[in-house]
Amino acid sequence: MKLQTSAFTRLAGLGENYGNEIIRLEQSTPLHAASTNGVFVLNQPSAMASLQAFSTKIHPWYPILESRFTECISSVWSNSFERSPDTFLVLMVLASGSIAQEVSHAEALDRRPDAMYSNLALDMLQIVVLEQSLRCMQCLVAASIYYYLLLKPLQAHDLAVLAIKKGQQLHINGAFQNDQAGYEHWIRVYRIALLIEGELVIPLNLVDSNAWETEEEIPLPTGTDIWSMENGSDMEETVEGSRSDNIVTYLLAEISMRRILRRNTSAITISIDGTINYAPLIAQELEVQVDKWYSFLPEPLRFSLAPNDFGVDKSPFVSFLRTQYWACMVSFYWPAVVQVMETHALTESTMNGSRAYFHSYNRFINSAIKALKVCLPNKWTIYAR
Amino acid sequence: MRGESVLYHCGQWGPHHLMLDSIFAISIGAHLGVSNPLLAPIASSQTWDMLALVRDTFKDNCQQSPSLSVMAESIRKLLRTFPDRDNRVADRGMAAQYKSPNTH
Repeated sequence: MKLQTSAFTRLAGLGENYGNEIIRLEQSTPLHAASTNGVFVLNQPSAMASLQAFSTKIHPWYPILESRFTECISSVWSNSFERSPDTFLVLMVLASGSIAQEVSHAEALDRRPDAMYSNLALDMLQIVVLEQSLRCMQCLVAASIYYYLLLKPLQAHDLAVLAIKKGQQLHINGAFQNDQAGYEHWIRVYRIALLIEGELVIPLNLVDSNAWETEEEIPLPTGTDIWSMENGSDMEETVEGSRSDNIVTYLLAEISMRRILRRNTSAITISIDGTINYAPLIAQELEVQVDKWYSFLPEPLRFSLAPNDFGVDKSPFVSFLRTQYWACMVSFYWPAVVQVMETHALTESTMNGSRAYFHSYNRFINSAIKALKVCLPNKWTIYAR
Repeated sequence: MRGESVLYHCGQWGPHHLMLDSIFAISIGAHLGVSNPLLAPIASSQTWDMLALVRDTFKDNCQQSPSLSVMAESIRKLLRTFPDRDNRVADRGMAAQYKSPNTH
C-alpha cells in the first residue's frame, strides 16, 4: 500500500489526507535518545545474551556480518570500546540484540535495554558517515536495522540510503578489484540495504535512491563468510554450512519476490476513455508467476498451500515468505472487489475474483500474525506498509 | 515500483492499482468488502474472525509507534460495529446484520 494514496484512504472513509498525516506524524515525532545513567558499564553475561539474540533473531534476516566478526567483538572489548567503526558496529549489534532478547518486543521498547549501547554508538555516528569503507557501510546498515527494530521507519530508511550511496561509491572506485571475499561481502551488505530501502521508500513517500534501477546488474549473494555466534566454536561445520545455506537461500527467495513486486501487480485494463476494469486473465497470469516463484522454493522454505494448514512453521523464513505470497494473491484479486463496489454489480468474473480475494485475505492474516512474532525487524512494514 | 510511480505522479493512482501488502491496508480492503451487500455473502465466516484478530493485534502491539498507534485507532473505529463472534448467527445472516460506520 501507499500510505499517501488518497484514492484508497478516501474509499476507506479515512479521508484524503490520512496517509500524509501519518507520514507527518512520523516526521514530527522527536527522536529522543533513551535515558541512561550516563555511565557505560559492560555487563558481560548480558552482552553475550544480546549477541546470541542478534545472531538467532536478527542476523538471519539481514546477514551483514562476516564470519570473523567474533574477533572484532573481542578486539573492541579489549580496547575498551574506543571510538572506531568497529566499536560502532559492535555497539549497534548489542543494541539490537538487547531488544531482541526480551520476551516481548513491546516491553523492550518500553524498557529500552538498548539505551546504554546506542547512546554510546550514536556519539560515533559522524565517523561512520564520513569514512569510506565497507565497515562503515556495514555500520550504517546495522544502524538502519536498529531503527527498524525501534519502529522508526524514517530513520531506518535514511540510514539505508546512506549505506547504499556509500556502497555505490566504493563499487565505482573499484575498492574490491583484487578482493573477491570483500566484494562478496559488499554484495550481501549492499543487497540488504536495498531490501530495507525498498520496503520503506514507497509507503512513506520518500525520495527514491533509484538503486533498484540497476539492481539486476549486481551479482546475487553467496552463502560464504556469514557470521553466527557459533562460528569458531566446536559446532560441526556441516551444521554451520547448513545454516548459511538457509540464510542465503532465503535472501535469494526474497530478492526474487521483490523483483516480482516491482513489476506489475495490478490485474486491470484501462480502456481508451480511461475506464478501469478488473482483468481476470491478468490476475491468473500474475498468479502463475507467483506460483512459479513458489515452485522454485527449496524444501526448507516450502510452505503448504493447503487450506486449514495450521501447523508450526519449519522456520521463521517460511512465515514471512508465505505472508508475502498471500499478500500478492490479495493484491491480484483486489481490483475485482473494487469493481463490484464501484459498479454495484456482481458478475461471474468479479464474483470469482472476490472469492479469491477473501480466501487470500484469510490466509494472509493467518500467516502475517505468525510472521509478526518471529520477524522482529520487519514488524512496522508487516503492519503498515 | 516503476510503473506505479509513473501512475502516481500523473495523479491517476486509484484503488485499483494498489499493491496491498500490509495487515492495515489489506484489512481495510477486506472491511470494505464485507461491508458491501453484494460482497458480504461471498466472504466466509473466517474473514470476520480475521478482522477481529487484526483489531486485537493492533490494539495489543502498536503503542510504541506514533504511526501504528494512529492506524490501530483507525482500525478500532472502522470495526467498532463489528459483531462479536458469539452474536453471529450464520455467515449470510451476519452480513445482513452488519452496519458499516462508513455507509450508515
